[in-house]
Order: sequence, then structure tokens, then C-alpha cells
Amino acid sequence: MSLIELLPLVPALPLAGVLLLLAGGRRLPGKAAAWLASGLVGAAFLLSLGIAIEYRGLAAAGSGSEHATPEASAEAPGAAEHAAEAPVIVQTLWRWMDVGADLVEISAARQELPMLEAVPEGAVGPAWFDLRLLDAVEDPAARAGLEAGLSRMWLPEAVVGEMPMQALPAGMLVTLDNVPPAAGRDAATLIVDAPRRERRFTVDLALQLDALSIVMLLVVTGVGFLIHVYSIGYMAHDADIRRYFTYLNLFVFSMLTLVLGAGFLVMFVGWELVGACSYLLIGFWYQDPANASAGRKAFIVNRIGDLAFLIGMMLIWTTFGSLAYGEVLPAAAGQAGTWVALAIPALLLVGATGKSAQIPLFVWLPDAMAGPTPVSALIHAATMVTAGVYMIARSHSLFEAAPQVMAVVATVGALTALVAALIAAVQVDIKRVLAYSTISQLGYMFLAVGAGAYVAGIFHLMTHAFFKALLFLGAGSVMHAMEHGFAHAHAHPETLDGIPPEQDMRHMGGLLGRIPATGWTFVIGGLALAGFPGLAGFWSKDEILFETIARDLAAGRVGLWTLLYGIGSLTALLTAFYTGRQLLMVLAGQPRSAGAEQAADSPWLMTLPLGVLALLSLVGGLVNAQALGIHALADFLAPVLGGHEAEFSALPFIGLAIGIALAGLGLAWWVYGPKRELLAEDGAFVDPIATRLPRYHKAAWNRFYVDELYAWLVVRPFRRSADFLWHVVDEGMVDSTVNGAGRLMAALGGWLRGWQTGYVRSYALSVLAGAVIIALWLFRAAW
Amino acid sequence: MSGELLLFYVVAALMVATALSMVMARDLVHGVLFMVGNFVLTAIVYLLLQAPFIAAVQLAVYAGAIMVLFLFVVMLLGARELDMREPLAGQRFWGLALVGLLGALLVFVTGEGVPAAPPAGLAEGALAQAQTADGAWLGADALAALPAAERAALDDLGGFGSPQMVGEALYTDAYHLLPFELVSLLLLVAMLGAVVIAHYPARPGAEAGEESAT
Amino acid sequence: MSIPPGHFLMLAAVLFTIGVAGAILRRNAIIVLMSIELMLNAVNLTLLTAGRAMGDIDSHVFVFFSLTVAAAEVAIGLALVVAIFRSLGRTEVDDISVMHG
Repeated sequence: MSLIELLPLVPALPLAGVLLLLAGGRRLPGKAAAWLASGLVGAAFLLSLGIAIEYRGLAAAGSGSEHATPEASAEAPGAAEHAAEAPVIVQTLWRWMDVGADLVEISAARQELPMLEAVPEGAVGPAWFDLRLLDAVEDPAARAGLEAGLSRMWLPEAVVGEMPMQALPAGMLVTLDNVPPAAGRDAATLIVDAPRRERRFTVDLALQLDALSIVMLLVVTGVGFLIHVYSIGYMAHDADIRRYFTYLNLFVFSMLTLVLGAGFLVMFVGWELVGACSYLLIGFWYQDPANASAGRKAFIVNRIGDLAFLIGMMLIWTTFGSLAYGEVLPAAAGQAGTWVALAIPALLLVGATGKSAQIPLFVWLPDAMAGPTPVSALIHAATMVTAGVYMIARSHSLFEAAPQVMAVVATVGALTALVAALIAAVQVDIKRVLAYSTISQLGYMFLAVGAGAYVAGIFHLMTHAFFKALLFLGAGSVMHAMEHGFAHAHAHPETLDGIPPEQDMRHMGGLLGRIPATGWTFVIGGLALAGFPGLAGFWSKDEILFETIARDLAAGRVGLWTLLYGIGSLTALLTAFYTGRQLLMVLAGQPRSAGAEQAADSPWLMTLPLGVLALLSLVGGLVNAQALGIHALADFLAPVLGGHEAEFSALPFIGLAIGIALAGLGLAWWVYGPKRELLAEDGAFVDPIATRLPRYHKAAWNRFYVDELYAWLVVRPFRRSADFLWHVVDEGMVDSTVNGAGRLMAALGGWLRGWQTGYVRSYALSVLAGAVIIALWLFRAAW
Repeated sequence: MSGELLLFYVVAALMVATALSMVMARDLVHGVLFMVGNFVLTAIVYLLLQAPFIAAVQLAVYAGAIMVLFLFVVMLLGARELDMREPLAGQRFWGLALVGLLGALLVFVTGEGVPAAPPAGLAEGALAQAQTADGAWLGADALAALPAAERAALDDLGGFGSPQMVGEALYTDAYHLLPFELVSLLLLVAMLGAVVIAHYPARPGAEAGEESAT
Repeated sequence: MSIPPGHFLMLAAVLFTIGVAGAILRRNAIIVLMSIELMLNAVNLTLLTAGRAMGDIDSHVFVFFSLTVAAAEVAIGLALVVAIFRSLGRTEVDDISVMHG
């Protein structure tokens, strides 16, 4: 148990890094700060690994020898039976919030306390004394006693005994909670024993350790550590390297808070903190206003989702009286059918679409690529954006109480996957392709959790973290190499369409032979994303698609889920196509610029994490390769997410998926293969899609005008109303009122000033006038 | 019409005449002289009001000291024809209108009007008609109604308003002794103040002012 | 003993009004001062009349104080006139109008 008890240390390590860098970062050399931050995250990863191993032993001991033998693990229902026995370890660090008080049901105490007879049946009063009610107490002695008791925040037993309850209004009080136990058998004790209803809002700062959080823990710290190491090399020459690593550590801490929190509010704190880190890191190079505004865009779009999340949490509290998973989730099924059961997951879904960049709130993620590339890998591909998926998986029992919302989740996911893939297929910015690909893959995860295949969703989350981090880091390495190449060749290529030349795929080509370490790992990542048989992405994506259609197969119908399966498969084809396109444009053929010609591979600090991630992308899918009969991840997660029984043979679908992936890659080879001439006669790059499908290319190139739609729908009315408020309300009404008041006073003052002539006799005349008026009033009785 | 009443009318007419002359005087010296005449006539009215001590003080202080002071200052500053023009717009019109209104009000009130809320112990219009049927003042009745011993004591002091009686009130009454002493202090302060103000050395600009005035 | 008290009061009222008119309408500081003395005298006359009518000797005491204060006031007032004359060369109250808005 020793390592599990150290669980709070996992988030504490990166937090310590933040504090150390904040306190002493300036005095540290940049390299030392970077190694310190990376080392702390590495230590957190090792600790997480130890915790995971220990927990696995614990779970195995708890659920018998099931995991030991393949036969037993094949029995999915068996796993479900033992689910309850798998430990959920909650460590409460401290009580974070404690608002309100217990309600005492006075009617219950009535029999034992004759003086309560005057209080109406069923009356419930707060256990503190409402000051406003004090006035209603007529007996001065009792009042004095109450006031004295209030001043000490509790009532002495004598006062409780003598209190004339008849004088008190209904729904009343008695402060009993804090009556000292020495009060004996008297009134106070009796009421304390009476049944009470919790109306107290309490939140514990607690960490929860179970299978789901362990998977997330390993992904976050593991991928986070690799990206830290990579960043040491990538950011080595940046002047703000300390700030960068402070943010990065803060992000890891926040993400760990998000996944380890044992309640919605703690998760929300992490949720907001990762949002803040994302904002800080997107605008890391804030000197360029475009980066800063990209950060703002991400922040503002996320706020929309966060508001819904917040409202959802409030509903959770009013419905379940708690925010802790352990109390809310088991009670969720009991609420099925009520409007709350529908509203809560719907609101949570809106929150998740914001964080995980789903329709309609996905517009921020492509712009988030303004940040440093490792940040794109860590935050905007591997971890933070998956928070929405994690949240839905974590609160799946809430979602299951509302099947309609589940269908919406799946539909949103499938549509997002398709739309993002369509956009990705025409992008030429190496990072933007990956950004849209991320949105698309997140759509798959939503499809999975919407279909109830939480394990598949989390599985894809994990494999995606591997290969997408690999791809982003690879892209960063490519950019690094291109920059080096341009600098070496003293070339200053022009910036096309606002895309920096080093990340413009139109300038690349033929890099595989020049930067082999980056190139080959990039190929592995790309193939994993494309769903190439045997690689990580293949297993997880295939499982999602199979689980989706399995819903309809089980019911023996052709319906929504079949449609979503179709969309998912089409997206898989597109995914393979645009991935192949990217690989070919970057790595194959002839170099299309001096930078590509002279590119040099990155330092080992950058290529080493690429290698590790490539290895994970190769074999990471094997932890849950259903087709091969491996269910390790599913069994591990079953206690949290529920087991799934495969009733049908997945083999035809696996064959189909292999066919689709290969078809997509083949299509890409056919269009962009090394033999194809992609340059026009004047040397400009010509995308074959643009010539063959110009209308689609134009629409997708402009991201289907979603940003323009938002500008028209949201930004324009907002600006209009702001202009209205500014010119008409503020300038026209507020300012003129204020200025008018000022002008009135000035005019009045100018007029009054005229009376101060400086002539004594004028004043005397005024005094005389006053005296006459007073005299007239005094003698008014005379006439 | 008794001789006393006749005397009052004559004195009153002269007082109004001298007051008007003083206020409308074109020559400062004439004005001061009319003021002195008015003050002397006031002393006679005080005598008619059975206030011989106050009449004496009036003569000594006003007709004596203050008159000398005024004349001295007038002579010091140089007597000359006064400018009767009115530079302030509306001052004369509104001043006369308000003064007329005030005068009418006061005459009306003192003649037959009544205060809306007369002081306690004073009936409505009591002051203006404070006379008994035989024309005597109520105050005499009050004095006559005093017990014999007190009447005798009052007569020993020389009767109502006599210097003895005023002295008794001024020096033996605890309520008047402290104000009396304070007033003596006030006079001292006023004397010092007058000296300081008038003796303040002339500033450089004053020379030019004097030249332009002469 | 046959002069009605109302006569004294009316005389005082007339004198007071004349004093007010002088204070308001004349520009010479000395005339203004004299007018104020006239007003004070009128008030003294009223006080004495009231005291006589009510047989109260305190009115004499008040008039005595009033005379004293009037004397002090005249002394200060005339000193001011002298000081003003020395600085402005004139003794008209309208000349002292620096403190205007």
C-alpha cells in the first residue's frame, strides 16, 4: 500500500516544479530549469507506474485469479461480476468547502420534546438561528438567552430547554449541532439524535484512484514526460525557456488534478486550470498579436462549454446532494426518465464539446497551433483535449440514464470526425493537418463513448495520445530541420497563405532520406493514425467502429448506429488518405525548396522521445487487440466502465477496416505518389485535389466557412450590440446624463455666482428680504 | 391731552425728523449732528419711560462719547459733499420697496397687530394695549400688587427704573454679574482692536490711493 | 402716565425702519454705521417699553448691555473706516467688493 498512499505526490511533483521555477527560475540557467521540470514529471511518471503496478496486484487479489488465466479473462460477464470488488481508493486531502448546515426535522423530535409541539408537522428549520427570527421571540428572558447563545454560535442547553417554542414561527431553528456533549440527556441531545437531512454543501479535496484514473495517469505523465524531454531540445534556444517549462509543469499538475479528482468540482478545477495553461501556452509567443488572439479565441470558446459544465454541476448537486463520484454516479440510474437526467448529461456534453473541440465548438483547436509545437502535441493532441472524453467516460452512468443524449454524443462525434477529416485532406500546413486530424480522432472517441463503448473510447484516447504526440513532435522536428535547412541555404522563402515556410508542406518533399530518424518515426505515427493493420490506431479505431455497428447488430436492425458506422468508415478512408498525403508530401519525392534540400536531423533529445513514442505506436494497440483475443485494457477498466461482451464475430469488420485503410493509403499514393509531378511549370505547388475537385477544395480550404459563420452569427451581432451600447447607450444616454448633470450644476453655479456681487449692501438687501419674509410668516395670523 | 402726551408727540416728531435728516444728510458733519440730536431726544423718551438711569447713560455714552468719536473720525477723514448716486442696479427700488414693506409691517404690528405666538405669560396684543381702563400701564398694577413690604423696599430704592434699582439688578443678581464682567472684557478687547486696526501702518499702495482721493 | 405703550412701540418701529433704509440705501460707511446705531436705539426703546409695561427691571439691564456693545461696535466700526480710508482713500462700502464671484 505504500506507493498508493503516495498518490498525492504525483500531482505534487509538477506543482513543486512550478513553485521552484517561479521562485528561483530566474537564477537557474535555462537548461537546468528544463531538466528540473522534466525530471519532476519523470519522477511523477515513475511513481505512477509503481502505483499502477501495485494497484494491479491489488485488483488481482481482489478479484481472484481471473486475470491470471486467459480463459477466465475471456469471460466478460465474470469480469463484470467482480467489478464491485475492484478497489476504488479515495484519498481525502482536506475538506475544501463546507457551506450551510444540517437541517433538523423537528417533527421527528416532537415526541421526545414536548415544547416542540407548537411547531407544525413536517417543519424543517436550519440548524442555525436565523437572526431575522429573533424579533419574533416575545419573551425577553428567552430572547436574551438566544442572543447570548448566538454570540457563541450555539445555544446552551438551559436556553434550549426554556425556549418558548410557541413564540417562534414555523420552520425554525434551534442550534444544536455544537451543543457540548456534556449536556447530558436534555433537549439538545434528544434533537441531535433526531433524523436529519443533509443540506450541507461540502466538497472534499480528494483524489480517486481506480482503473480509469490509472490509465489517464500513465498517459498524462508518460506522454508528458516524453514531451518535456523533447522540449528541452526544441526550446533550447528560446529566451523564455523557464516560463515555458513553468507553464508545462503547471499543465501537467492541472491535468493530473483533472483526472485524479474524486468529484466533479475537483475535476472542474483541473478543467479550468488546463484551460488557463492552454491559453498561456498558445499565446506563449505573445509578441505576435496573432498568437495572443489565438489564445484568447481558445479561452473564450472554451468558456462557453465551461459555463454549461458549471450549470450541469449545479444540477448534479441539487439532484444528488453531492459532487463526489462515489455518491453521484451510483445514484444516477435512479433518476432515469426525469428531465434532470436529460439535462445533466446534455450540459456536460456541451462542456465536453468545448474542451474536446467537437462540433460546434471546434474552431479554436486549429488556431491553437500558434503555440510551440510540443505544446500542440501535449495539450492540443494527447491530453487536454481528451478531457471531454474522459469526463464522459467518468460520468457514464449519468449519460446512460439518458440514451437520447448518448445518441447525440455519438452523432456529434461522427459528424465532427467526418467534417474535420474533410478539412484535413486539403490543408498544406503540416500542423494544421494534424490539428484537424486531432479533431477528427476526438470525434471517434466521442462516437465510442456515445455508443457506450467506453473502453474503446479510452483505448483510442490512449493510442491516439501515443501516435498523435509522435506526429506532432515529428512535425516539430521536421520544422526544426526545415528551419535549419533554410538557415543553412541562406534561403528566405516567401510566406504563402500566412503559413510559415518551415511548416508549409508545399516546401517539403524528399525528407525521408535527409532526416531518417524523424522521417521513419513520422511514418510509423502516420501509419498508426491511418489505421494500418497491426499498429496502435488500427486496433482502437477498429474497436470503436465495431462497437458502433454492434449496437444495431445486437438489435437486429439498420438504424442510427449503422449510419454512424458508415460515417466512421468513410472517415477512416479519409484519414488514411490525408495521412498518406501528408507522409508523401513531406517525406517522398523530390525536395521542393532549398530548406528541404539541406534539412538536417534534430538532436537526440528530440529524436529519443520520437523513438519511444514510435515504439508505443507500434505495439501500444496490443494491450487490447480484441481480434487477437487480448482484452487486458478492457478487463482492467471493466470495474469502472463496465464489461462488454462481443456477441458477434468482428472479423468481417476487421477485414473491411483493413481494406479501407489500405484503400485510403493507396489512393494517396495514386494521387501524391513519388512518381507524380506536383509542381506546375512555374515551380508553384499544385494540389491535385484543387484541379480535380475545385469546389470541394475551396470549401474545405476555407474550413467550410465555419469561422465566417461564427463571425456572422456571433461576432457580428455582438459587435453591433456593442456599438449600439457604446454609441447610443453609453455616449447617448449615460454620457449625456452625466454631462448634463454637470452642465446643469455649472449653469446653476454660474447663476448663483452672480449673486455674490461683493457688495455688502446687496447682501444686506438679501438679509432684509429674508427678514421680511420671516416676519410675514410669523405674523401670518394677523391676516 | 395731558402735558406728558404732548411732550411725547413733540419729541417723537422731532426724533423722526432728525432720523430722516441724518439718513438723508449730504454732509457728514450735519449727519452726525442730527444723530446726536436724535440720541438726546431718545434720552428724553427714556425719561418718559421711567428709565432715568438709562437716559443718563444714553446721554453720556451716545450723545457724549460716541458723538465725539464720530465727529473726530469725520474730521480726520475730511468732511465733504457726499455722493448720493446709486451705482447698484435695483438696489434703490428693491431697498425702498422692502423697507416700505417692513415699516408697514412693524407699524401694523405695534399698532394693533398681534404676534402669532406671543411669549408665555403675555396675552395677545398685550404689549400694545398694556393699559388698564384708567390709562395706567399694567406694570404699575403689577408693582402696586406687590406685598407692602416689597413695595416699601422698592420705594427705598427710589422706585421703578431708578439707578438704585438698576444697580441692585446689575450687581446683586447672579445672572447679571458674569455678563457684566464679560462686557467689560468686551470693551477692553474692542478698545485694543480699534487701536490695532486703526494704527496698522499704511501699505505702499495706500499712498497712491490717498493721492487719487484728494 | 397716560401715554399708551403702543405709541412708544410705533415710534421705535418708525425709527428702526428709517435706520434700515439708511443702512441699505446709503453708500457712505459712516452714515451706514450711524443708521445701525439708530436701529439699535429703536430696539432699546422697544425693550424699555416692554419692561415698563411688564414692570420688569431686567429690560434696563439688557439695554445697558446693548449700549455697551453698541459703543464697542462703533469703536471697531470707525477703526475699520479709518483703516479702509487709509488703504483706499474712500469710505464708501461699495468700494470694498473684492470678494465677488
